[in-house]
Amino acid sequence: MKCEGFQIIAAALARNEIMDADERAGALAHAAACESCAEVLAWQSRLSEGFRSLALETKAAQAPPVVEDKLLAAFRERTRVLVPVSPTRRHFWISAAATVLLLAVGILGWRWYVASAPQPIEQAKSQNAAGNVAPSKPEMSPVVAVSPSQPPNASAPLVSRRVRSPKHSTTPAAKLNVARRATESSLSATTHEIKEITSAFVPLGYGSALDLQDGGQMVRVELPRSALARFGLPMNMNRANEKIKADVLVGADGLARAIRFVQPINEPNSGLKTGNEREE
Amino acid sequence: MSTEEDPLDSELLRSMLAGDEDALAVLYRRRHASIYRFALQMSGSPALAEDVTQEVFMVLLRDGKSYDSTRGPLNWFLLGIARNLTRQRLGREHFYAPLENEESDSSPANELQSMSNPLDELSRNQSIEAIRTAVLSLPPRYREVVVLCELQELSYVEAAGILNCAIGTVRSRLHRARALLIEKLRPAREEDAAANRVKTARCLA
Repeated sequence: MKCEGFQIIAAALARNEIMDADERAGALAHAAACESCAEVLAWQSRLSEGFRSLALETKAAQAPPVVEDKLLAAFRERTRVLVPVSPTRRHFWISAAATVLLLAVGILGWRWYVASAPQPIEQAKSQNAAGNVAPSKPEMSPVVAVSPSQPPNASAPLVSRRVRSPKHSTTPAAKLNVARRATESSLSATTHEIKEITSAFVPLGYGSALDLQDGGQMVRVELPRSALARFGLPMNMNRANEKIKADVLVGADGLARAIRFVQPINEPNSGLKTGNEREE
Repeated sequence: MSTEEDPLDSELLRSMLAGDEDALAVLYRRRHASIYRFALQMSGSPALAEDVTQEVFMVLLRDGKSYDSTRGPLNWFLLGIARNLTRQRLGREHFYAPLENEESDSSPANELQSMSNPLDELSRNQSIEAIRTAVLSLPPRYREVVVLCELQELSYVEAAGILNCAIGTVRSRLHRARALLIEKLRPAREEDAAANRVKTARCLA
């Protein structure tokens, strides 16, 4: 064996690695004869001995217990944060989805109810279909409404409440009906104690009372009883000088769209009568 | 490296990932020492070794599902993480090994020479310190094979699995690392004497 070959396997010799027996014997014989290679082998052996000593010294080294404590604390925190949060989030999303679904169903049902509601004023329907805006003689329908708890002021509107008409009213009469129902519901939202009888809405001549998609307002006013005659309603001439309450449906543009007359139930001898009764 | 312990590392890992704290404790107590020693021998810093040990298991908690048992035992996986973390920390925090003083009598070379006397405990301790200092001064790619193959006493195959390289690469790096260490530990005065002998011979010639 030559020195170059010995240099290659010197580390393996010092580490006592498994090697061919003849190769090992040849290397040891070369080291015995070559001073420099013997020195190389000696240094490699010292190095291996130093490694063993160092490994022995650090064999017992291990992380202090605080590392394990920190790790387990981090594990608990991670488990506490991750595991319970998942069901909570799931419940939240399920609840949110259920809420949205209920809202959607409610809105659809309400729209369906509005669209399929019966038209209460056949005459108004025919007028609106023909575009006739002239005052006519409406049918008196016994609408039991509720009036505001506050007594009406003689000159000021008694109730002024914004009413938004649904956009999906298909027929003019249906739109009018919607406006009326919205008005009634808005009135009933307040505290009511006195019941009223109202006529059906009579379209006014300024335009269609059915163009209330942009909303409107219900304004309660008091009019001379002669106004009943102007709208084709029967009037008691003995009370011509008295006033009568009316709800005026005012559009978003400020123009009156429709009117209905209101009479408290306890008011004697009013101009309005329930059912098909007519005032003489 | 034994992987035949009961329960197996992979089973403990599965339980740990499922939220079993006891599995983590068992796995930690079984494997943390080799990770700590590796980081300590690579850096010479107990504080860094503690951080790396904890971080290795945190990575295991976070990315334990990425462990592929077909690529080797879990201990290889853990030591591979420890190797990457240690190299990152060493690169970021610039842990330097102390420079050796060639003029001092307590230089690594002189200390290693005195190892020939086993009865001198003080010299032995100094020699161990000399080896440690020399190892820490190696470039990381050589240092890690020394730590794994010489100090952790792993086989070439295991070291190659941890370092994710070929066995021949491990062997050649270890050969080169040992040569570098001997160069660092060889006493300067021997080289000076050899140089003087050559000069003298030339003069005489």
